[in-house]
Amino acid sequence: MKALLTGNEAVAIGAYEAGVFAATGYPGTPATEIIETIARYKEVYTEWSVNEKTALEIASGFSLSGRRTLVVMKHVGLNVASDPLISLAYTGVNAGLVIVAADDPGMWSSQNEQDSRLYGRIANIPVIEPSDSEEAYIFTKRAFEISENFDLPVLLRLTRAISHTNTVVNIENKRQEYYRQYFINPAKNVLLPPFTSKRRLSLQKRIEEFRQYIPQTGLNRVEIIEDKAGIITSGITYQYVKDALPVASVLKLGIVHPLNHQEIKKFNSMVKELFVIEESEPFIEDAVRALGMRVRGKQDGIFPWAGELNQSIVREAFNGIYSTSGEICEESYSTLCAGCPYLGMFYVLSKKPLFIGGDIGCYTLSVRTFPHILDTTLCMGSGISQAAGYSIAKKERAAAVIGDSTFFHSGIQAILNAIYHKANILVIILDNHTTSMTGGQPHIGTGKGLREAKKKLLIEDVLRGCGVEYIRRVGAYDIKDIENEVNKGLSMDGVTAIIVDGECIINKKKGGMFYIDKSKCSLCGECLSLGCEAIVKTEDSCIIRNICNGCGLCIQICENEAIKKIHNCNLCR
Amino acid sequence: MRQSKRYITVIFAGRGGQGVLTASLITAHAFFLSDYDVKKSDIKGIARRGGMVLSTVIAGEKVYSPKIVPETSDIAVVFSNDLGLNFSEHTTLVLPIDEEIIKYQKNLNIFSIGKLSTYLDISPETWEKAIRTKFGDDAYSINISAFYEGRKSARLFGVS
Repeated sequence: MKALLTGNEAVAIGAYEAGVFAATGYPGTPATEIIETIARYKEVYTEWSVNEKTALEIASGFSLSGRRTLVVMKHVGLNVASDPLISLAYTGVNAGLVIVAADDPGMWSSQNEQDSRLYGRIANIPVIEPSDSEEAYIFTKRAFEISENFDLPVLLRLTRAISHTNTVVNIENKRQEYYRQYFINPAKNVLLPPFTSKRRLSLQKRIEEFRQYIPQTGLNRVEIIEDKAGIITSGITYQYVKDALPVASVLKLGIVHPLNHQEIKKFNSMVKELFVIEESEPFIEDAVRALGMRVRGKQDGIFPWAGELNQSIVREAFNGIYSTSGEICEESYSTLCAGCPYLGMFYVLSKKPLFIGGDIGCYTLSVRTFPHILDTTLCMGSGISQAAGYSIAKKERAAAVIGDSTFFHSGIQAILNAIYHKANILVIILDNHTTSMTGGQPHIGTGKGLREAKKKLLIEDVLRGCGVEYIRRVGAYDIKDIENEVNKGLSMDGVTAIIVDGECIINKKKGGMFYIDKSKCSLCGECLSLGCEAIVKTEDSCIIRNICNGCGLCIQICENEAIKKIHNCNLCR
Repeated sequence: MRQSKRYITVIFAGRGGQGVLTASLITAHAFFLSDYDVKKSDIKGIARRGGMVLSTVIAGEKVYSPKIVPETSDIAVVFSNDLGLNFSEHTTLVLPIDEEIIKYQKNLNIFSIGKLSTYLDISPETWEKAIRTKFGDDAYSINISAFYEGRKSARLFGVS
């Protein structure tokens, strides 16, 4: 059966047909839809885990029990999961364990553009890279076999342009059953001397055996056309090469780590000049150079390192025109929504000269409208500790904002540390009852799973358990209330916490609309300082556009009482 | 960006909530159902916040790169006037007029692919099937009439 699928959907269907028992992960663009797709299959246990490290560890438990498991995350999530990943290469697996890392060259929705293939080299595990949805589907199935046959976790690396492109896929429509008996084996699974040394040597042996086996996988392929230029490439870059250089010969790698030396040497002998064209780091190129071959690529300044490539950049680079970078997201297309439950808190914070540690989530978008509120945005869970460090060193009060999902992901550890080491911070948890930036996935504070209801964990209970004594929950749309609570929370010493409660506006029913009475508007601009997307300034007054969600925040800050509710109006919707 | 005319390239541009991705996926399906090789790619960034949404569809006998840039697309289906995109004189622009934007608030995307359909060699029956993949019974009948109104308006007025 033929279907038009995204790379993410193809991975999910491939894993389903490979007979996975479970799929775990944490939401993150561009990987999110893999778990959402596989959750449609009732036979597959799916969970949004609390973070990527936990997702990989629970997956390892599934694998040990004898069941194939898929683990899904974005590239920065793989950093969080890297601790278990590297040691899992030592222990190996029981049933197949495949980890999907979706990279984001160009940083369309990420804080960095790391190349996850490098983890293949650190952990010494196979890294497989598809170049369209059809390959994503096939390679996922093959990855499970490789994982079992060589007793290694396998990394399936995607990039944005693979994950979010629909291409034609031939689907078998047949689910395989898989089970492998578990036997207790501390010499394999307990990493303590003398077992560690044996596992280290075993790892070397397993990856070498796989290296020799690579030609038989059929995942790498040679396309000989003209012999003038030979190009080694992989992933989406293969597609750019085929468009840009249709007569070049190509060694298309589906397995980018390790490399089979004979395969590379043979291809090199068939062409006059050897090139490696790849996105992100010179990962394949460095490995080819290490074999002592003359090769052209990023290291000698032909192709750019940063950003996404495309067929123009490849063609021009080949003709001697160097681009300093590939395509990089230069401007955020996104802002906080009109009526976002974060606006009230940010309005209050905009009047406070404080160090405020930011975090990863929609609140980061506040930087577009309030450029001077957040002092930092680094990675998940980091803002609380950054504020703690700042407060201890400066001997002054600081604050941190973090979302509900991020709080559970990695904020808790930061709070424990801040309390124990006597940091002096106000922690503001923006609780919008969802993981909103990635499209509204449930987390353990929502009482929802991917398919079924769960028992909700309360942020207050967790905070109390961590040792936070001053905890207040405040509604997101009452500015006076928020201001009072912030003032109180800041007036005390130690770690205090405010939870700002307001459901993500995208999930909420609209509450009517407001308009500005021109005759009363003095153009003071106070309503604009709310940073609401709906409010804009014109020559004679501020106006509220029809994207207004009726949250009622602006009405509270207009001193001229110019903002009014529209009654019984259906014109603009 | 492309060297030769081995492909038809269509770019869809609009703001979040206008159904840009639905329109491009339906168009990709219409090509797919007509036995083209087709690739559809989105730049959606942070999954569902406001701002511009771009999506591209490339169809041909064999499609490699899923990328096109606005300047070189054959057809651009644009849902708002203020996106600041540049198109070349070779690009056919499918753009709604103000009255249409008001009239088709909820299904401007499907109305627009109705217009688009008059420039592509795909049968109306195939378009219907492609639209069917995205909508249940009630939504389908509303959208299919928007599609045919779009087709009719393109014939009456040409493109804006």
